[in-house]
Amino acid sequence: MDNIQSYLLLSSLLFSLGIYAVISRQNAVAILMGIELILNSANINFIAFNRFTSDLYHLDGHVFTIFVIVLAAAEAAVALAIIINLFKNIGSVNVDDATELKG
Amino acid sequence: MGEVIFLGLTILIAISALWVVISPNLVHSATSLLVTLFGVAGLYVFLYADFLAATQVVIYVGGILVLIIFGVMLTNKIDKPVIVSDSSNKIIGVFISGFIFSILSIVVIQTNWPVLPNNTEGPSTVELIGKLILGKYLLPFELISILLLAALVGAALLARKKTVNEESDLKIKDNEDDNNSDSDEIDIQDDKGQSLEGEDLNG
Repeated sequence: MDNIQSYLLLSSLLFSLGIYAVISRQNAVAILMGIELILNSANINFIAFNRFTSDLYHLDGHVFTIFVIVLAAAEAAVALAIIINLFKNIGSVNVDDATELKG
Repeated sequence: MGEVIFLGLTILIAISALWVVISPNLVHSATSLLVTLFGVAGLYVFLYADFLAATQVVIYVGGILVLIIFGVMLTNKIDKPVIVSDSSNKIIGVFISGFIFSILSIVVIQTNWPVLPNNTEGPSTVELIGKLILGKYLLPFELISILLLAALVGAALLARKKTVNEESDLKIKDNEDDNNSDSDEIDIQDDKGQSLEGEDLNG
């Protein structure tokens, strides 16, 4: 609780679980959930380093975390629009079915 | 007491994140993502980031998760009782993510982090974050607000439903009103070109 290692270990666990979701999932929405896990682990890292390696009057890590959250919101909105268009065009959201451009 | 809560929070985050990743049912995945995000918000409270804990709950749980659940519901046939997502590449995925996790854990444990000893409670974070956003980080803040606006407008435009009626109406209008004003005609032709392109792609 008062050492930085526990937070960093938890965030690396979240990161590798997100990577596993991105690699192994076939549904595009599930891949999006994996990306959210990865972004959350980055946020935990930002705040943990800000808490433990600077004094409590410099909160630059918090501002970066806010930027990451905003980027995650924009990314989720655009990705879902793309996924809905994919579903309209090929009738499924399985990423292995999107082979229009495959040579 | 704090240690116990922190340990429980860690286990909760780990288990629910694991279930997000391996659950075959997508709705269960989204629900355990809710638990994960709440747990991360609790972690922010332990790190003296109260404003960010509230932001996490409001934006992630209230916004992004609702969007994801919309995505799950909109992209599946309504008559399927259970929304299933298959997994492939399981062995490669376990290998790669296990490799990354072990490398990261070794680095985290072996590094001598330059930790400052500050165990006292800090000042209110809201005031300091506000000063940073409107002072040092004013330009990134404005840029990211424009980026968010553009991304949301673009997403709404992309996901807009283009009905069959709309396209056939345009064609009829184009045939009937040949002698319209110039700007109207250009608009109609543009729309027709787009719809024809769309049909080609679909075919």
